[in-house]
Amino acid sequence: MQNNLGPSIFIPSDKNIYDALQHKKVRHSDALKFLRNRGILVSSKLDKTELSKIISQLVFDYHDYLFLTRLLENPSRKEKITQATIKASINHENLVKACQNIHKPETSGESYKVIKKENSTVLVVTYTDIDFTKTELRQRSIKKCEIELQSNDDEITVRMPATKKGREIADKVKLSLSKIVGEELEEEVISLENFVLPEARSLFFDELIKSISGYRLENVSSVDVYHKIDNLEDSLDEENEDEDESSSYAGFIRKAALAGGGVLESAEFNQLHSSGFFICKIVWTVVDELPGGDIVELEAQFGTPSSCTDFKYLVRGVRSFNERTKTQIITKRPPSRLETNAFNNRLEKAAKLAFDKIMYKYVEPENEDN
Amino acid sequence: MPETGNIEELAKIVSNDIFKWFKWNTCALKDVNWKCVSEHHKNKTHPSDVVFYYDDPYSGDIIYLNTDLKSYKKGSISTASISKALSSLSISVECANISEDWQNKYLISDDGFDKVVGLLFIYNHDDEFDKDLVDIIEAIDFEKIDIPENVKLIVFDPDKIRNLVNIVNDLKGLVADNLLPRKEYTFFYPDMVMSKRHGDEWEQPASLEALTSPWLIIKHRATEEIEEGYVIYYQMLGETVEEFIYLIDAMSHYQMLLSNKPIRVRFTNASEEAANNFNKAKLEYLKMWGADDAREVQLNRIDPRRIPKVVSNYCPMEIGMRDHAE
Repeated sequence: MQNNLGPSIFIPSDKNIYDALQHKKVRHSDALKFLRNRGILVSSKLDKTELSKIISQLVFDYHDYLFLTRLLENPSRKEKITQATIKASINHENLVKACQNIHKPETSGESYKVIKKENSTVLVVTYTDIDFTKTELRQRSIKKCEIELQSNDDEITVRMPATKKGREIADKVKLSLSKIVGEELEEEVISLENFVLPEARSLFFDELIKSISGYRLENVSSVDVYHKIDNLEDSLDEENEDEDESSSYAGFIRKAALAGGGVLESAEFNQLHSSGFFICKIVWTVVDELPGGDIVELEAQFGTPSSCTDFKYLVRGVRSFNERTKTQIITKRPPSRLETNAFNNRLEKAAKLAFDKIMYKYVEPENEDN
Repeated sequence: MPETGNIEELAKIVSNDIFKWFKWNTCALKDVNWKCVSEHHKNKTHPSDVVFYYDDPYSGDIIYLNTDLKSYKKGSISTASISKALSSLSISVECANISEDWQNKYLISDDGFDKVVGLLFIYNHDDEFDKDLVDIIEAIDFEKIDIPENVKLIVFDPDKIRNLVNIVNDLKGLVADNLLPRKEYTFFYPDMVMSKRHGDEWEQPASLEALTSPWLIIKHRATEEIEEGYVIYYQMLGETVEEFIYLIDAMSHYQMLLSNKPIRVRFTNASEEAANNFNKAKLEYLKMWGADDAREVQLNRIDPRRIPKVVSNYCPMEIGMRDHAE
């Protein structure tokens, strides 16, 4: 952040407070309790709009501001993860050194922290994320960006949040590493850009979901398909529709989402698949191969589907096994840190396996022909 | 039912010692019962110990405060007795808003009459503030007090009252030292986005909203000893630097820093580190916005300090007030 932007928090106006209170995360009871703490008692029959009007007239101090922003925070929102492999043999100590060598920008409100773990090194960057599309009190949020570096034999696995910030910090880490090694480092990411056959692109996901080691595929609950193979910037995340592009094809479906149990087996899906659509995002569940294990819900996608680049993934939730009912409970819970790490590892391995398979199937024969 | 005699005495003391300084007016009639007009109340009359009124700074309407004065000895109060007092005040206020008898007795004029608010003033008349009382008030099941939709109640508990008395004593001290004019001060209300201050900037009372806020801002004219400026009573603990960065940002937002007037920040209830934290916040704030001599001059006009606490000398009920609890 630039220094001329002032403090990382701003005093909200009465209108900002009024707008923030309208959010559904601020419950009626929160508003009543806020007033009560001030010594102001009103009827519990007043609706939230009335209560918001009363509260927005009051002076908010720092503690009140924190109270309100904490109500509005979304602690369970999880960022998707992506990874890159750097071909280099660097020991654990040098990974720590590379992270420590990164200098944070002078005027930013960011803080950097290096943690040395048993098998990996983690660089934690705490920063203020600003989203101007949200109402004033929800614009600023403190976020953590964790870059995890793991050294295996002759390569380094870099795991990072699939965000702009994650990419930015990971690039700094790479630069710092190459200074230690003394040469420019090659980075490998999973990308299907070179595979133009829809079958090949879909096969990647088909293989991925079956390759989670120690777990067997339980169900596919949602699939996004895409129908346009080119190198144009076309990010699913930003959903920026290219008007000129689509207007030339009237009645042309470019992307579609299918949801429901066993999507891949459905007749509708196979029909789409055969007419040139390929999978760009998938949500599925896997179950422990051993009896009495948990069911885990996973998600994988290409952020830029037209080129099948920007691969990212997420451990969405866990349905624990209940000893009493001898089955997994219906409601899923957020994964623990340990589970997230373990499944990120399994997902990365599965993605590499799947990638190798389509390489073998779609690239090798061509080479032989030549 | 109100007891005889003493309530009137207490009402006078409370209005003179406290609320006069906040520019509230007191209706002449004190300790009066008036006719109930709501059949579902099962009361023939409702009591008013004292009625205060002031012009609301943002609406311009006259706010009337139908007040129930309660005084307790340490340990003689219970959750049930306060709940009862709130329920009773709640129905009194519901009735006062529509009772001709109440309106005849108290309304200054029909002009600008907006609504009657209930004020429960709970004081414990021991020398020391009774800390248990906070727990007792927190234990009240507010869901059970059925407050009608158009009724608003304000509770001034002993903690709040102690703060208000401290502020008044500090004001008196400043006036005595000629560091504040006796009359030429006003409570400060910045224009907001959704509501603007009504009427003249000067002679504004401290509204209920201002008195229940974490800070209270006074704007004053010059005396022989000090030029025109502001006094801010800061009621929070002041244990963090961030809360003062926020406060300075608020001053800036309220345009208080523009004219380089002196600003005295006075802590009513703060921890030892408050003034130190405030000075750190000044430096941080300057750093955040980049070096600027003019801003530094402005911020150096802010003088933070704790006010002397003299609350134990204030015991209006030593004259022998009722004890409601038993």
